[in-house]
Amino acid sequence: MRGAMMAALALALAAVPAAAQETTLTEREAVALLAEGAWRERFAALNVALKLGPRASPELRLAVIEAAWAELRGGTDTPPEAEAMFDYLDAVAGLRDPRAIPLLVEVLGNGSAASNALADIGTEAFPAVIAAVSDPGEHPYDVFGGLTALRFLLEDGALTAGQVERVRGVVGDRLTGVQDGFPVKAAIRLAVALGDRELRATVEQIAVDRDFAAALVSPLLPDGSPTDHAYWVDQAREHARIFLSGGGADIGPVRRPGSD
Amino acid sequence: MSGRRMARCLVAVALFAASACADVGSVGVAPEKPSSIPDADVDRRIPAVAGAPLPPGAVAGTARVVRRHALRLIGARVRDTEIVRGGEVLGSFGRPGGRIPVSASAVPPSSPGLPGAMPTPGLPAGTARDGDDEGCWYLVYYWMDNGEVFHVMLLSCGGGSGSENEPECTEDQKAIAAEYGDEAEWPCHKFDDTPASGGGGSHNHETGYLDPAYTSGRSSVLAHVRANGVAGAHVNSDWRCPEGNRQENGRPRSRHVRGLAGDFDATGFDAVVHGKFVATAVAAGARWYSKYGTGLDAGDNQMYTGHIHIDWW
Repeated sequence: MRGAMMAALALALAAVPAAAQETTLTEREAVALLAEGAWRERFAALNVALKLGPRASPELRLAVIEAAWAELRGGTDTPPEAEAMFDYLDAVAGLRDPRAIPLLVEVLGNGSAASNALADIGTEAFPAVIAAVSDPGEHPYDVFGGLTALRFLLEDGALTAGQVERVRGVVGDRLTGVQDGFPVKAAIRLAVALGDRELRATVEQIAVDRDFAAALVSPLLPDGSPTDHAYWVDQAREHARIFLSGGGADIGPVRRPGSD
Repeated sequence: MSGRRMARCLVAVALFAASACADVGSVGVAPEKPSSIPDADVDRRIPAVAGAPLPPGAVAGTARVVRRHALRLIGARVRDTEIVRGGEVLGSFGRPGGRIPVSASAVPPSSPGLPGAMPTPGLPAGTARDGDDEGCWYLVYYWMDNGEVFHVMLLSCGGGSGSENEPECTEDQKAIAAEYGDEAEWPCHKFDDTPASGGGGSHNHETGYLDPAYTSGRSSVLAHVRANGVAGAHVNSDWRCPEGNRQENGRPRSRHVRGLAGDFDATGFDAVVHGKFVATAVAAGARWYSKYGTGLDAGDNQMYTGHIHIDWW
């Protein structure tokens, strides 16, 4: 029965121009295609979720999340050159579904859309995000995205006093010892946003003391190979100067709340 | 062409401020106009127009830019730094000695107060399309305070439709619009930009659509990485038409199709270079980007070791 439905859907999709496909599927059909359809059919189903966003049914939201996980892990029939991951992530980011938190944390290092989507979900995302940025083995891009998500939550007023205190702790950690340039930049911005006197003093030292900044910013990539150390030191110092001065509001990543 | 009609062809103001690119504008590039644009024709500061939409990162009231070159460029395309028609290079920009041939008599009079003529990049609202003129084209430049040309487009000011609201489209533009199948969101006159991808994803169309968020971000990214030791930075592929994207196995409404994504490359692309692209991309408002070395292609080779995909909101 399900096979017959899939075959009928595939035939119907083949006969409809791509632009019109998103209007021809019901949510139930989209769920079925996401689970069992071929990659082009899953694209069509994805359009339904993209259109509905958080208004999608719980079943469709879960189907999108699971399909995105499958794409992320690889091994689907989607041709790699399709760059389908970004389409799936777009759909997931628009769902505002707490079940997407683990996936969004997984892709924190792929762009500010993940940070924004986690902030859209709200404080429920906090534990997973704080865990990611506290992990010293986390990829620097992911830590950058996580610290950015925490900043968004802070700026949204979504955090409790206790959560803010934990954020202070991880920011302090990321401005101590030797850190990759990416987390340093995000920590600088979050430190200033927190308004914490001690953290601000650290940021001021980064801005005025190049040796201090050079000691903080790692000269190595995560794999141990050398990076352009001077570049990252300059980046950190410039970031510090801009945000200490109260500027930089239009520098990304910026908060872009999702639509209902 | 009458002076009135010329004036009505006045189009496009891009508004930028160094502060809008604070993270990427302070890259050590001395502020200067592109050397190829004649001084006499440019650098007329135009006040911001109330209510006009601004490109991402732009700040109202700090306008810079805009150049209109009235050229007969029917059938011409912007290819990299050159304006070409058939096999003939009509002009070039963005490099020392490059110069667009401009007839002084063809430059339209300035009319900064022209209502509705100063909107956003892309096809501006209020663009004059009236009449029976011979079909001139304007080559419109947008550049930032660091001198980076971030957007060039050909804009028709003729076509004989007799209506300001119904711009005449080329057959190619009409063909692109047919691929989208959505006249409301994707009218034919929207496709007047020059994508990076000449074939393949653009399906050999002559023009395409690049969203202002993308062109602004692209400019920031390229200017920043070039100023920070990255050689040969360029865009491999950006806009793709629906059919071209389908042939590339992409989703019909992917961000490439919407003119919001680009695949960036550079000489000696590696993790260090990738990091510089990402640093600028996030500062310039990127939505998603590929991590270095992620994904496998059909031959089980890592996909993102030779370029970075970046897309914008």
